Amino acid sequence: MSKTSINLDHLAEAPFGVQASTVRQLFGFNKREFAEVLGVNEKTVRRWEEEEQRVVPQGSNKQAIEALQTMAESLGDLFEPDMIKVWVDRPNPALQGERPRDFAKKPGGIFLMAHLLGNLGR
Amino acid sequence: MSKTQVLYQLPTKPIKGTFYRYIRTKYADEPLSMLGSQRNGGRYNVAGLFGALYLGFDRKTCEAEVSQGIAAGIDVLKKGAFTAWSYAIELHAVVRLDGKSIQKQIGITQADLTIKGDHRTASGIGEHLHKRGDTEGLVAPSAQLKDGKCLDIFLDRKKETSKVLPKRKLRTWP
Repeated sequence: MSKTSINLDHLAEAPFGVQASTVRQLFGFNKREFAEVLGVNEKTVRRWEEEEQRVVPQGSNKQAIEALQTMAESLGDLFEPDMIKVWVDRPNPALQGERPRDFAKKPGGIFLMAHLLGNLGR
Repeated sequence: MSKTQVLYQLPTKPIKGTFYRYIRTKYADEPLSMLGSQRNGGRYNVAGLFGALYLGFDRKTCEAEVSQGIAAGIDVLKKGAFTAWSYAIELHAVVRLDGKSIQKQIGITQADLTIKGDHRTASGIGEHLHKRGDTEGLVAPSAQLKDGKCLDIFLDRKKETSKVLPKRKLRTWP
């Protein structure tokens, strides 16, 4: 799916599979890369995105699931859908001046962004 | 005396007045919630260990705090994303990290407390001040607004006779 086809409307209310897929595409990852960044199995990412059943955070995937949920909820709460793409590509002072899109690829980058966004006004 | 020991000896001071907080509008009816800081950590608290209620001395500081950190970007915030609250505060014992003499005692500068995107020094200090048990919070320079100040309250350390009262739900912002 191309980046322009990402639907960012109502991201906070979307099912987890949609949130995971949206966040992945937003930062420009394929499923394998995304799995590596999150420290989970590629199969797990596929299952999240393809299965419609409710994903419950537990076990070793708990941290990754919670980070993705926090990220999706926060992006949906804080930004207009069109502006999420702007935010992802804009140098960010809280990320040592890096763009969120680049910062996501660093070890722990997604988790740190989820923490910073999750703490904002909550 | 080590830097850590100094943190346990710092004097506390009372503080009283009206302070402000910008809460995500979705959670605007939970003015005392610390879920965000409890789960995710904040500049002066450690995720999972304890939460803190982050207030600004004025609304301008709150606006800078929510818009100039991770959400930075001109005009990218959703209209009405935040709701402002005012609080009536009366605390008996907070540590004033905004003072140069206190900063000197700890062996830090204001810049160490306000590094963008790096909370390690600040959260280390917050952790020890919370651990002291007798400190209800701290006053710190804003990391996002020059001359802005924040009051960070450890609600679980609030003394019985202290007050942290949400006063009024103000307006949405931006």
